[in-house]
Formats: sequence, C-alpha cells, structure tokens
Amino acid sequence: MRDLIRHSLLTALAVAAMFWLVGVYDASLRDARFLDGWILLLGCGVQVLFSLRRKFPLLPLGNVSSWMRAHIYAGFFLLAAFALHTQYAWPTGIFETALWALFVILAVSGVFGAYLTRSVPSKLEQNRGGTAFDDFPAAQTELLQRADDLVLGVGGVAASPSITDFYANTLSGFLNGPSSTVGLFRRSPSTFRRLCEEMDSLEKRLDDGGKQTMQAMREVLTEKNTLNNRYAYELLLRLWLFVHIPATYGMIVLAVLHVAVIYAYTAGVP
Amino acid sequence: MCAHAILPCRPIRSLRSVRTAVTRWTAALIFAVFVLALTYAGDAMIIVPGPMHAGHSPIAECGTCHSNITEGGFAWLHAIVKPSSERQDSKACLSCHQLSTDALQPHGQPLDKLKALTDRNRSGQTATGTPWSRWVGNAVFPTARAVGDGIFCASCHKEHRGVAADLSAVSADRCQGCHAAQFTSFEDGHPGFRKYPFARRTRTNFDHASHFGEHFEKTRARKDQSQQVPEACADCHTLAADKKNMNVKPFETVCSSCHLHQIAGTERLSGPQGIEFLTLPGLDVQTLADRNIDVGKWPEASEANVTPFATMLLGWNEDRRALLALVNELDLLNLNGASESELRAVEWFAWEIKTLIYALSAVRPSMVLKRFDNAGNMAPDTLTRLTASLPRDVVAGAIRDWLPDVEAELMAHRPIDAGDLARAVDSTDALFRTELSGLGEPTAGQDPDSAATADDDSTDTDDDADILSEDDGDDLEEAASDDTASGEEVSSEEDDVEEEPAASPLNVDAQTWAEFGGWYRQEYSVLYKPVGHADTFFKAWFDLSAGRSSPAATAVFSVLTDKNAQGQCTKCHSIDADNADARQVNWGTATSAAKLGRFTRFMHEPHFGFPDKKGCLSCHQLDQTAAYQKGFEDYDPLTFASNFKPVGKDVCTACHTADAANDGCLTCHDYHVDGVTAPIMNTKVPR
Repeated sequence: MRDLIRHSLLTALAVAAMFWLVGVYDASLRDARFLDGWILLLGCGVQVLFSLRRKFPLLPLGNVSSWMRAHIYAGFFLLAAFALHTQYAWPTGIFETALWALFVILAVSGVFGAYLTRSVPSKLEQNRGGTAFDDFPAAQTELLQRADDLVLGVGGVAASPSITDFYANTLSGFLNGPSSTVGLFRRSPSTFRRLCEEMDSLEKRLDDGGKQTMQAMREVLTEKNTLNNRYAYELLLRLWLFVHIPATYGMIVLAVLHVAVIYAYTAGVP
Repeated sequence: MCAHAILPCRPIRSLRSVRTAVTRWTAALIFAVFVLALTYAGDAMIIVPGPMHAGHSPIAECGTCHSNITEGGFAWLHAIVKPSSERQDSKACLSCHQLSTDALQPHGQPLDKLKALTDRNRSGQTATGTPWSRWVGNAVFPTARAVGDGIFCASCHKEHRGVAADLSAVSADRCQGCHAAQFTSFEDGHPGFRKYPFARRTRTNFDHASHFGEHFEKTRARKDQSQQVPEACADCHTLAADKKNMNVKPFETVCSSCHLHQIAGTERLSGPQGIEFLTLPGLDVQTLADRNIDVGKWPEASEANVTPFATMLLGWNEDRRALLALVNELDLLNLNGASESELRAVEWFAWEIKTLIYALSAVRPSMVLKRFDNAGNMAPDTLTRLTASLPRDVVAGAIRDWLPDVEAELMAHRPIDAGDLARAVDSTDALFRTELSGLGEPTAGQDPDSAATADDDSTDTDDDADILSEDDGDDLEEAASDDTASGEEVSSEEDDVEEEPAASPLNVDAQTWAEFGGWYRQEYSVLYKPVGHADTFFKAWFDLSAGRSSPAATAVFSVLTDKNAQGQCTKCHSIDADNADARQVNWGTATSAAKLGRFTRFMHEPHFGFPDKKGCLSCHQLDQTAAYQKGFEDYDPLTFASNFKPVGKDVCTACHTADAANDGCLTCHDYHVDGVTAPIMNTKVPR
C-alpha cells in the first residue's frame, strides 16, 4: 500500500509538473500543443520499450515487474498528457477522431490490463495447479480419460447404469467443454455448483461401490473446474493484449502521420 | 506395420504469434486506410482537424490560409520540409481583417511607440511580485525568441475548433509573457492606475465644479422657467451606441436654455452681435487726392477696419499677401506720412476692395472664394459654408450705398500694374476676371444699357446707377450710415423709409432685425450673426483658418477665437495644437473613434447596476480644488487638471477578482488597440 501511495504521488507530481511546464511554455507565446504533443508521443514511445524489454528478459535492465509498474504509472501520466493535448474536448476531424479513438481504446485496455495484472494472480493462487497455459488441452484430455476409465470400470467394476447415464448426459459436456471462450466465462462456476448438487442427489441412491465411483468422479470434476478457472484467467491475461498492443502500434502509426500533418500545416510558433 | 496412420505434424500458432500478426496487420491496415482515404477523397478533408469558425466557412481551400500548402492529396507532404510560413499565413488573414501597417508587431503598434510606452511605464508605477513561474518562464522560454519576427495571427487565434469557437480567447498569462510588468493577478500586483481615465483635458470646456457649485444654484434661485437645471447626471449624459462611452447630450437639450443667447450675442454689452465679414475700410481720401492717387469715389465717412476675412480673400498668392501686409501696417485713416510706394499699395488695395465687393454681387461667390484656394480643390459644400449663402442683395445694397458708381469705375479703371505683383494673377484669377468683365458687356439681342443687370433686376441698373450717382458727398454718407437689412429692394420708396427710421415702430435696425442670425449690413460693414449653435459659417471659417499658418489665416483665427468673439465658440470648444500648422477645434466630445489606440477600455453599461447609492459618483468623485480652467489657457490638451479625481484600482478590485466579476486582461484591455476592420467587398455594379 505504501508503494502504491508513493508511486501515485510521484505520478501526480509528474502530472502537475507537466501542466505547469506547458502553462509556462504557453505563456511565452509559443504553441503549447507542440510541447504537450511531443511529451505524449515520446511517452508513448517509452511505453513501447516495455514490450521490447519483455522480449529480452535476460538483459540487465531491471526486473520485469518494475518495468510493468513503471509502465502502468506512465500510462496514467500519459492519460493526463492526452487530456491536456486534446484540451479536454471531443475530437472533431476525421483523422483526429481516429487518433483519439485509438488512444482511448489503448488507454481503456491498458487500465483494464493493469487491473487484470493486479487481480488475476490472486485468483490463480486460489486455483492452484502447475499446468502451463499451452498444456491445458493435454490436461483436459487426461481428466476426460480418467472419467472414461471410471465409468467403463477399467481395472475394476464398471459403473452402474445410473452413473453411466449421468456421465453421458450431464457430466461429459462439462468435462469436454467449454466449446468457446465465452462459454468458459459463462459456465463456471455456476455450472460447477449445479453439477455438484446433482451428483449429491444421485449419490444418495447408490450403493457403496457406486458411491466410491461418484467420489472419484467428483475429484475429476473439481480438477476440471480448477483447470477451467485457471484457463479462463490465463486467457484473460493474454486476450486483453490483443486489443492493447495492436491499438498501441496503430496509434503510433497515426501519431507519426499526425505529427507530419501538423508540421506541414503549422502556423503558430512551436 | 502399424495400422494407425501417422498424422503429419501441424504446429498450432501460439497466442503470442497470433497477436504479433494481428498487430502488424492492424498497423498496416490503419496506414493503408489513411493513404487510400487521402488518395480517393480528392482533397485533404480527412486531415482537417475540425470545422472552422462560422465566419471562415466560405474558405474551401487549405492554401487560402496555409500558404505553404499546394492543393492535392499528398501535396501537403512537401510543406513539411518548406521553410516556416507564419508571416505569409498571417498576411492571408490580413487580406480580410485589416489592421495597421505594423499589424504583426505587438499590439499592431510601431516598435518605437511600444518602447516609449514601456519606458514610461517603467518610470512610473510598476507591478509588484513577479510570480516565480514567470521567472522560470523568462529564463527557460524567453518570449523575445518566440516573437522576434513578430506576433503572428495564429499565435493567439486558433482555428479548426468548431463553428462557434471563441477565436479571440487568450489566457491572461500570455499577455504577461511580453510585458515588463509581470504580476499574479489584477488584484495582486497589477500596477496602480495613473490618472485614469483622464488622458487629456476634455474637448469641451465644461467646468463641472463651477456649474454644480455656482451656476446651477444661481439659476435655480432665479426660478426662470425657461432655464433648466439638470438634476441628475443622466440629464446631460447618455450611453453611446457602443455601450462603452457616456456621450454628452446635444447642446439643444442640455445647454441652450442658458447659453444660446451667448451664441446669438443678444446680451452683448458692446460691439456688434454679428461678426464683420466685409467692410469698406476707411481711407484718408484727402491725402490720396492731394497725392494724385486715384481710388475713385470713396466715402470719407467710413472708419471701418479691414477685416481679416477680406485680407484672406484677397491674399491668394504670396505677392498679394506681401502687399496686403504692407497695407495692414499703415494707418489708412492718416496717410500723411506714407511714401509713394505705400500710397500706390493703398491705391491697389482700394481697387481690390472695390473689385471684391462688386464681384461678390456680380459673379458667383464660389468664383471669389476659389481664388484664394490655390489648389482649387475646395469642396462645393465648403464654399457654401464659407459664404453661408451670402444673399446677393446684401452686397448689392452695400454697393448701392457705399460705391454707387463702382461698376462704371471698374469698367473705366485699368488694373494697376503693381510691378511684380501684377504678374501673380493666375489662371483662376484670369477666369474670374473673364466672368467679371463679361457682365459688363451686352449680349446679343439685349439692350446694351441693361446688360450689366441681366442677372438680377434688383441689383444696380444703369438707371439706378444714374440715380445713385447723383448721391455723392454727404448724401452718400447719409445713405451709407443707414442700417439696412438684407434683401431690401432697391427703390426710392425704401430710400424714403430709410431716411426716417423712427417713423414706424416696425422699422427696427438691421442688427435687431437679424435676431435669429444671418447676414445684415451696418454702416460700412457686412456682418454675419450666428444662426444658432453649430453655425456652419463659423465652423467653416474656424476649420479653414485653423489649418493654415499664413498671417491672414491666423488673423481670422484670432478674431474667431477672441474671448469676446461673436458666437463665443471657443468658450466651450477647446483648441488643440501641436504647432501653428495643426490647430484643431474640438467641435464634439470624445468619440469611440477618438479613443482608438487606447490600450484600456471601459464599458459603462454593465456598471449601471452598481448597488452603491452614489451611482456615478462611486467612481467619478468631484475634485473641487482642481484648476480645471487653467488647462484651457493654451492649446496643449495634455496639460490639464480634471474636474474629477482619478479612479483608483481599488474601485475596480472591489468587484473584479478571479472569483467575482472576472479579472482577465482582456476584460479591460484590447490587444488590437487600433481596432480590426473588414473591408467592403469590391463588387462591381452589374451592367
């Protein structure tokens, strides 16, 4: 918390300094939009360095978590620079609107990403499991195989017809799924709770052998649910970058063109 | 062999790989869309940052304002490497918004003037407490470097911010970037006022203190219903159309009930009520006759002086002015000691006077007046005002009474060869003489005897001349001494009436007859009495003589500005002068135009709701001790003492703070102090 306060104060101080500097620049009869514009563009350039840093983790340039922290606070600083540069007004030109929209997308996705990077690790901690993101399909197949073996009685007695029916009609869908990313977030954890309740209900009507089978099946179901949750959070940590990074480079392309246009048409004193 | 088929290896792209591809494609797509849009849009509208102000909406081409830009999809790219074009861009603005020649200098003012103002301000009260941010700004971003080549329009006026954007909005901080006096706010550190709002004496000499304390009281005490005493400031002052200035109501509304008689001269204790425009000057006829100087018939009774108007009318070139100056130095009523050349000058002068008087009756007055206007560019309305539509019969009556044989004398008299002076007759003069001599010649089909009176039967006929020619000696003097009003018919019956002026109570003297002003004749003078306030004759001669430095013009000006002068114009209307050539009579009070060039403006209207019961006196406090009248003893408008105490800054800061009635620089100060005008379009009339 102390770090949060310290870093927030530093960011606020930097923002105040920027506003003051731009004000002084403007008062000297120069066009302050050039100054805050260059601050904004150069700031965006520095932010891009973060992704480069991640590509070269072995370079002795500080740890990634420090870079990430700096990236987040610099992002908030650039939000203020953006507000200053746009004069707190909606864009009106076509080109300006595109640039404005890309920055807003970039900023919103960045804020969302910052939230995820702070909140998801704790969720992953609650859903322990050493499966790497790329090994999720194999882990899911393994769980499915274990469930199949329990029903078919591989190495023992085959499950009762009621268990077989429950597995075939209800449980296999959950163990095989979800079929889509959206479904991943929509079905868990409510689906998991409903399945547990149905298993409890069925278990009451089974003999001891059946109860043992259902107990083993419940473990499979729980592992699958944990796997789903981990997969969902790991996916989230990757999916928001599909918005943030393309928006970053798209915005930089437009920003460079914007600078070219401005210097071609400029009439004030930079 | 295994029955299972071996599936080929099909690597699945990682999310990172997919993301990289998406990123690249996104950047490429955005760039492509930009290029395609710019290519196929046909113009640069895609890169326009926003709509222009409504007033600029007719501008369709970027290059109209952005001088570096040539039209075409990507033509603007070339402008990136072109030299800066701020000056050219500003000239595009100035093609519609007209400013002074120093438009791109600070405040559109010449640098030497700005330097003088800065020096003056530095020598007086200064600002206190330069904000530390300005210290840093001065050191890190010196303004001089930014505006060394001038302050261009776009430095302050930012376009493409929407149709209703305020293009003239400028922060107060920007003003301080240049100004020597740097301070935090109007309330905190702004220099104190210096004699505000009085930059000069009032154009109209109206002593508020003496009127409030003395004249109004006396007038009230008289209880004369015809004289109105104002009860409130608004009885005399009214808001101007620009809502800034308080104008003085017209003379007829606020002054005439007490002061009109001073213009008309009805209460003058001495001297004529009208001003002598033309006289038949008194001459030492006996001496002239003894010395064989022929001036024709000249009434010995006249003791009139030469009027400066006549001197000005006759002195239309340097040679004539020299001769007139010589005559003016003589005692024309006692020429005993005059030299031969001086007498010859008097002879020339006498004939010129006769010619002038006769000409005013015989030819158009404009021809007479044009002779002294060497440039010949005097406007017809000026000529009209200078003569105040002088009635022909007034002059004809004067000729009848003073110089009954003048026409015959002039026909017989050959112009005197005054040596070098005679050669000075210019083309205008020749035209004048042609017109004058033509009147004496019979026209085809006309009785030669009546030719000279073809224009006006009421003027001298040959018969009249014969009759009048019999009146010589005492008869002539007697006739001349009778006052005759303008427009009198020349008839024997009238002559009878004039001989017994007291016979009828209706037969008043000419001056009394002209009670409402106008032309009249008295003894050997033709006089003009003001017809009221703003008399055009007086104004015309004031303006004409004020703008000329010749002795004759100065003499006319002196007569008009004398404290006992008829009309009493300069009793109220002050005269400004930088030197003798640039005298100017202030006919009106300060106008908005007169206030152009001032850096400070005040708008009265928003202050009318001032809750203070003192009203106008909240700001305008009377200074009973000020030597107001002393400020009008010379022609310098800058040496003065106001009737009112200067307004202090504390009066304004009572309301004008950042949290109350606004304390921005532009609330009271203009940047474009000379104003900005839009020229009328040069549209040709459809054919």
